[in-house]
Amino acid sequence: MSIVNVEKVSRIYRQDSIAVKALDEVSVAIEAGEFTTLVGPSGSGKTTLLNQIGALDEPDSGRIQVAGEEITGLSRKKRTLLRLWKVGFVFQEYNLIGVLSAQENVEYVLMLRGVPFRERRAEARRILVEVGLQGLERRLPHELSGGQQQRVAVARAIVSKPAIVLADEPTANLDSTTGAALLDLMRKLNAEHGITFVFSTHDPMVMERARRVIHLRDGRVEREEIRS
Amino acid sequence: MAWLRLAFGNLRVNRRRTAITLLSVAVGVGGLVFLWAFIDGINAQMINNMTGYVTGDLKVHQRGFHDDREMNIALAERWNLTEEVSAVAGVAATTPRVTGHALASREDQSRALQVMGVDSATESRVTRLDRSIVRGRYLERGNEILVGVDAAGALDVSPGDELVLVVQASDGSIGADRFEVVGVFETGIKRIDGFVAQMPLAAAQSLYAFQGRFTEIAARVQDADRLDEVVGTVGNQLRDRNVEVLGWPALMPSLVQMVAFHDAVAYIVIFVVFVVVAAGIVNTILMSVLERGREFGVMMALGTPSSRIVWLVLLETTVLAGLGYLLGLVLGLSVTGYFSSNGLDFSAYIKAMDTMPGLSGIVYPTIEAQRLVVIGIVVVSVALLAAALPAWNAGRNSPLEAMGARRTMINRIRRIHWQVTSDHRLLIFAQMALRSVFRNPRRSMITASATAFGLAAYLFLYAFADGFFEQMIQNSTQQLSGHVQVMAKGHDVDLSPDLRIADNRTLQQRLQEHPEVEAAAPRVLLRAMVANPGKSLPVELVGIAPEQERAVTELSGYMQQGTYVQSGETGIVIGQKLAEELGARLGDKLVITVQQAGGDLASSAQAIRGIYRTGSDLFDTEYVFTDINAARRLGGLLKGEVSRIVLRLSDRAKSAGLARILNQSPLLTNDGLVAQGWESLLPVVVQMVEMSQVDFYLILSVVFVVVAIGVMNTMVMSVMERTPELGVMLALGTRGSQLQLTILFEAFFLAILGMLVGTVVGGLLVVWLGTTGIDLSSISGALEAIPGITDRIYPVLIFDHVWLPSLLLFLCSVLVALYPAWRASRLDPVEAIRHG
Repeated sequence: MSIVNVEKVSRIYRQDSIAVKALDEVSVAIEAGEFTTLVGPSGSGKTTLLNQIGALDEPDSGRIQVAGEEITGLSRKKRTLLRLWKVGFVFQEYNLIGVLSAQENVEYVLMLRGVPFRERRAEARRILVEVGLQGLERRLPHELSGGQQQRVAVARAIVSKPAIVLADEPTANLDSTTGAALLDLMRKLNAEHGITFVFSTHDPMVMERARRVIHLRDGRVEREEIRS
Repeated sequence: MAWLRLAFGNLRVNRRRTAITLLSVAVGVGGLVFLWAFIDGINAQMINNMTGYVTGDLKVHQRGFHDDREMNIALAERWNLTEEVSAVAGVAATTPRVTGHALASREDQSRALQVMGVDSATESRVTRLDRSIVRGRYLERGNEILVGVDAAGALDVSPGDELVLVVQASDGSIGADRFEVVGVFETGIKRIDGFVAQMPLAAAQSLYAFQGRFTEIAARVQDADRLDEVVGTVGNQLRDRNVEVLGWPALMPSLVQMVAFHDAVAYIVIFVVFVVVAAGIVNTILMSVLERGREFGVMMALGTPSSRIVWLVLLETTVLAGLGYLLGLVLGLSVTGYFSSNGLDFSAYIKAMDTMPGLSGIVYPTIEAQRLVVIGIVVVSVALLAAALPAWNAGRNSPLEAMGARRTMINRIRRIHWQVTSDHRLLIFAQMALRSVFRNPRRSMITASATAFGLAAYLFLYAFADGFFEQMIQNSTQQLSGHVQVMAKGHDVDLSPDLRIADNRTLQQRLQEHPEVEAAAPRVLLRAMVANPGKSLPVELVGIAPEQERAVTELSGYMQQGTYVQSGETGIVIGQKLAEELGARLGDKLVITVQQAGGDLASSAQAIRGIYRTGSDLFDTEYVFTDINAARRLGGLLKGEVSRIVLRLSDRAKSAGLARILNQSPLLTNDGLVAQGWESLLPVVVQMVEMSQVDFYLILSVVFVVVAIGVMNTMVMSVMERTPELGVMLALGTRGSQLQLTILFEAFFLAILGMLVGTVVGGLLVVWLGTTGIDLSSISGALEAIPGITDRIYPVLIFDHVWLPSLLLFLCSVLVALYPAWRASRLDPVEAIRHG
C-alpha cells in the first residue's frame, strides 16, 4: 500500500521575474515501511519534493496523497494538523528548539498532540535510550555535539509514530563516522518499527544504505534503483 | 562614494530592518518636535498676548517712573517724543498713554481696574484691544470707557451703562468722574478681561489731573527679534532727554520669569522625553547591529579591515538616522501644523491658565527652527553612539568569531533548571516564553529597558508634579484659605460687605463642635485701594482676630519686619512686595479706600505696623491685614458681623465632606450661608493640578507612543532573529495561534521585567529627590508668581495617580507584541527554516 502518492506534481518558483521549475510533473509512490532516498545534484528538486510531501509547501499542479489523505488544496490549518499527526521531520541543521532540553524537544510533538505529561515523558525517555542518548536527556541543544543533536532530531521525528519521516540531508553537517552511525540508527528504527523514511542526500553513504534510490535531475525523476 | 553606495545597498536589501529603525527614529523625532512646539507655543502666546493686547514691545517713560510708579514722574506733551520715537529705524508705530488705577463702581458693585488713557487713532497701531471688541464699539472721545468682558460681568454693565471711577489723582487728591461704557472686549485672558480698561487720552488726563502730560509712550517694533537693538537705538536717540527706554522683558519681569519657569519645567520634561526617545533609538540600532555579526565576519574574511566595518556601520547609521529624522520632521511638523492652526483646547482650565500671564484657553504650538536643529543633532549623535560600540566590538573579533556570532549568541543561553512538566499547553508555552526571555539576557534587557525607561521617566515626572502641587496646596491653605470657609451665599464671587454673617460667635461655637474642626477664626474681607501720595493699588483688606487666626493660618510666621496684627489696635500689616511697589516702609501711613455696606466710599489712613513675606508675589501684593474691629468700622459692619468664618481641620482631605454636611445643615441654610472646602476656595490651585494632569496625559501619550514603538521594534527584531526556530516549530505542527501565544507571553514577561526595573529606578530617583529636593532657586523669581510655591520642590509619589498609567504602559508593552506575534504566525515554514 502506498503511504505517499505523488502524481504529476509541478512547482515553479519565481525569482526576479525569472521562473524556475523546481519540480516538473514528478510522480512518485512510496510504500509503507520503505527506506527511500532522493538523490541528485543541487537544484534537482530533492528538498522541494520533500517539502511537498511534508505539506510544508503547495504544488502549482498535480496531486499528493499522504497516508490516504489528499493534501493538495488543504488550508494552512489543516496542513499544520497533517504535519502534526502524520509527518516527522529531520532537518540538515538539526533545528532543535533552543530553549528546550533534549527530552523536552522530543516531548514537544507529543505535547502538541495533547499527550499527558507522564506518558509523554516516559515515551521520550524510551526513545532517547533507543537512539543512544541515555543520560543526556536534560541537556540543552547547545550542550550536545552535532551528532547528538541530530539523534535528538531523529527521536523527535519518530516519537509520535508518524506515517512518514522526511529527512532533508540529515548527514550533511556530520562527520562520516557520526553520519554512518545515525543512518544505521534510522535503518534499525525502520526495520524494528516499520517507520517509512524518505531522505534527500548527495551522500553516497546514505545511498548505500537505502533500499530504494530515486534519482532526480532538473525537477524530474531521472531513474529509480531498488537494492536488495 | 563606493562605501556610501554599499551603505545604501545594505539598507535597501534589509528593508524590514531599515523600516523598523526608521520608524523608531521618526516617531521619537516627531514626538519631540510636537512637545517642544507645544511648550514654545505657550511661551510665545504669553509674550505675544501681553505685548499685543496691552503693553507693546517697548515703552519710553520719564526716568524713574518704572521703579516708583508715581504719576508725577511724567513725560510732557510738548517734548514731542511720540513723533521722535516714531522716526527711529526699526520702530513701526508709537502711541502716548496715561496709565493708573481706579476703583470702578456701579450701584453696589465695585472693582479695581487698571486704566489706560489711550489715543484711539494711534493705539491700534501698537496694540490690538480694539480688534477684540465683542459688544459695542471702540473709543472715540469724551468720558467713554472700554472694559473687559469679565469686568463688565462683575460690575454688571453693558454698553450704554455708566460707571463711576474713583482715583487718586497725580496731585494726591481723590478724583472721580462718570464714564459711559461704550464697548466690551474679550481677549480670553482673565488678567486683561477682568482688570484692564481703556478710555480716551484726554479723559484720562482730566480724571488724573494730568493735562499736558503722559505717563508713557508705547511702541511696536518692526522685527520682534531685534527688540534689544531698537531699544538701544531709541535710548541713544533720546540720550539727552531724562527718559528711560524699556523693552517688554524689562517692563514685565514677571512674564520673563514665568517664561523662564515654564522653560525650566519644559527642559526637565524635554530632557526626560529625550532620554526615552534616545533609549528607543539605542535599542533598535543596538539590536540591528548585533544581529549582523555573521555578515561582518564574512566581510572580514574577504579582507575588509575592521576599521572599514565600523565606518560602514556608522555611515549606514548616519543615513538611517538622517532619513528617520526627516521622516520624523514630516510627522512632527504635520501634527504640530494641525494644532498650530486649530489649537489645543485648554479652556476648561482657564483659571489655571490665568496663572500664566497672557494665556488664553487655546494653545497654539509654535515651531522654532533651532529646536529642530537641536533634535536632529541629538538624535543622530545618539544613533551613532548606539551603533559605534557594537560595530567596534564586531570589528575587534576575528572573522571566524564574528561569523559564529549566532552560535555565540546561542551559547549565551542560560542553563535553565526547571522543566516543562505541565499538562496545560498554555502553561507550557508560558514556560517556553520565559525561557526565551532568559536565553538571551542582552536582548531581553534591551527590550525591557524601553518599558523601564518609559515608566521611570513617567514616575519621576508625575512625582515632580505631585510634589509641586502638594507644596502649593499645603502652603496656600496654611497662609490664607484654611481648609473650610463659611460665608454668605455669593460672597465667594462678590466681596460685598453687604454679604455678611450676622452673629459669628454662636455660629463659630457650633462649627467648632464638629469633631473634624480643630480651630475657627472670623474674618472681615473688603475690596480696597491702598494709596500713598503718588500711587494707589488695588488690594484685599482682611480683618482678623489675631489670636483665633493664629490657630487657623500661619501668616504670623512670615513676618519680616514690625509686628503681626494686634487685637484692638489700629494699623495694617502688608506684604513686602506691596511695600516695594508703593515705596512704603514700616511706620508709613497709607490711605485705604473701601466701598462700605450700602455702597458709600470710606477712607482711612493706617500706619504700617508690620511687613510679611510668604515668597509668593501674588499673595504679598494682594493681601493687607488689619484688626477685625478696624475692618468692621471701615466697611460699615456692625459688632458681631463678619464676612467669613475660617476653619482648620485635623485632616485636609475631609474638607469637601465637611463642607457638604454643613451645606445641608440648618445651621447654615437657615441664614443663607454656605460652606466651601479649600478646593472651591483655591480654584487656581485645583485647576493647575487638573491642567497639569492634562499636560501630563499629553506628555505621557508621547512617551507611550515612543515606548510602544520601541518595544514593538525590539520584539520584531527578536522574532526576526529566531525565524528559523519559529519555522521549525511551525513545521512540527505548532499552530499559528500557539506561536502567537508564545510571543505574547514573552512580551508579557519582558514587560514585567521592564516594569520592575522602571519602578525600582524611578522609585529610587523619586525617593532620593524627595529627600534632597529639586533646587529651582535659579528661577525663584518665576515661582513667586505661583501661589504657595517656594524654590525647592520635593517630588512625592502618590500611588493613586500612577497606578493606572503604569498599568496602561504595561498593557501597551504587551499589546504591541501582537504585530510581531501575528507576523510569526504567518511565516512560511520553508522560507523561515531556509533563510532565517
